[in-house]
Amino acid sequence: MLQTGLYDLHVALQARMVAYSGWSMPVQYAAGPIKEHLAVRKAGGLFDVSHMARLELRGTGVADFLLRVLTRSVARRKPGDAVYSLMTYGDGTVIDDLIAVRKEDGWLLVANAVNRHKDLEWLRRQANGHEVDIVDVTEQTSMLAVQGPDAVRLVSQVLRIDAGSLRRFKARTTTWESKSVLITRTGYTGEDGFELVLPRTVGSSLFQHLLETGSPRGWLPCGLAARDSLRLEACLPLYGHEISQDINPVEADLAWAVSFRNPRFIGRDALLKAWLEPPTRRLCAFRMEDRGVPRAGYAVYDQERRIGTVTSGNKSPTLDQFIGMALCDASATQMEGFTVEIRGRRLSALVVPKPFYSRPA
Amino acid sequence: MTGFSVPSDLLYASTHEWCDRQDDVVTVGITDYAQDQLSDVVFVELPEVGEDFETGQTMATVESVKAAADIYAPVAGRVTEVNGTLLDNPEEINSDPYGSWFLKLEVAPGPGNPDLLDASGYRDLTET
Repeated sequence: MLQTGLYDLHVALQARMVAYSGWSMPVQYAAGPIKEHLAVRKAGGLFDVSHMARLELRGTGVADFLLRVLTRSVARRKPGDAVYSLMTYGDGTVIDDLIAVRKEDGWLLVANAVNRHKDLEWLRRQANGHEVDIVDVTEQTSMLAVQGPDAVRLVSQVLRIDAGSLRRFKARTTTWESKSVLITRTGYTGEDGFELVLPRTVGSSLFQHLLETGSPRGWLPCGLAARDSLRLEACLPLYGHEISQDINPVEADLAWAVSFRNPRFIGRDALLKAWLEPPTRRLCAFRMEDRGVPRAGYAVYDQERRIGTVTSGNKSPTLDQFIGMALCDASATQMEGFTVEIRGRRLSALVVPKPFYSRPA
Repeated sequence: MTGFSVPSDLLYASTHEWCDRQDDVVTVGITDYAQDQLSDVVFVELPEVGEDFETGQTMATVESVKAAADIYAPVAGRVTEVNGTLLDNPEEINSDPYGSWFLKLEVAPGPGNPDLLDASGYRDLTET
């Protein structure tokens, strides 16, 4: 089992550790997932996301290579740009979703922990014939997510930078204990916030300083459970749930992350075809009208007809309602509601617009 | 793991239910250890009054932010009362597990389930 550079700190903070994609990760701390979730909506939360895959790409052929393997175009991206993109197979199915950050000396890809080895293998195979070096720096670095309405103030204070001037999906560097920190204004919670990548050895001290400074203002350390309920409220997809090798990006409402102006990416022909044909399945957001907790894998019905499957579901702490997303026949997006089968009972759900939560402007 | 409350006047099932028997009525809930393992409880499903259960049968379900867990009948009996306040305030199971009873079972007179543990037996179970 891999441990992040913050493992000892998690244990000291009374985290409950669980196995996740080969890593021992905090699923929650002493406060519990609901308080952690609400802290992120109100003030802020600190997450150790060092399990995420971090792959450095360098060499004269990187830009060309990325035009081949990413669905978004990186042709005009300058140092300091970050791009959410998908990586697809030739048939248009999704290998992974990731954020690509253009740095001065190359690119950093931040991808899902569960896909790290699959992604690496795929990238190395495609790199044949390109001037590209691919280095997996996941285990040499730490990655922290600093998320919440108070994030600009906290990051500015602790790292002594003007964090507010960094725009959404932009990146910059600074230092922490004389080590370089890459900061992006990105996140997976539906709140404002930052993600920080720094050498593994200094990740724990930065987390501790952020926590000490933030805790009097309501900041909490947050585990994977809160991360999951936060991203669900924001309708951010999770690989293996809303996106996978069996769901195409058009069905998952991720066509915006596919740029057909990029003429050469792997999967383009198949995705163009999917884009031109009306999708047979669509991702729907719903909230339960009857009492019950929808969970991934539960069946969705329209009267007696099976029309889909829940991809994610839970209690929304912000809305105090049971919510979920489901991959359904495309007709479901026009429905007022459907039923979800929970332990043998079909319970009513209302189809609602996505997302469940968006942060106040 | 230590520090969980295990009242000495209750009996316990190895599946982490507590039982309080007063004559022929057994009150059932889940233990402090169980609520801690579950994490934040968000939902409870209770049976109907009048339903009969055999020992070990699923009679209720409790769901946390993480997962659903079944609650098993620690003794055979008929449901005489359910705690409806838990439906609206399931978080009370976390804050007060021994005050948050799920239901009451009327049981046949007699010794009941011999596999139930006393407090020290249950403590041993949760600490190994």
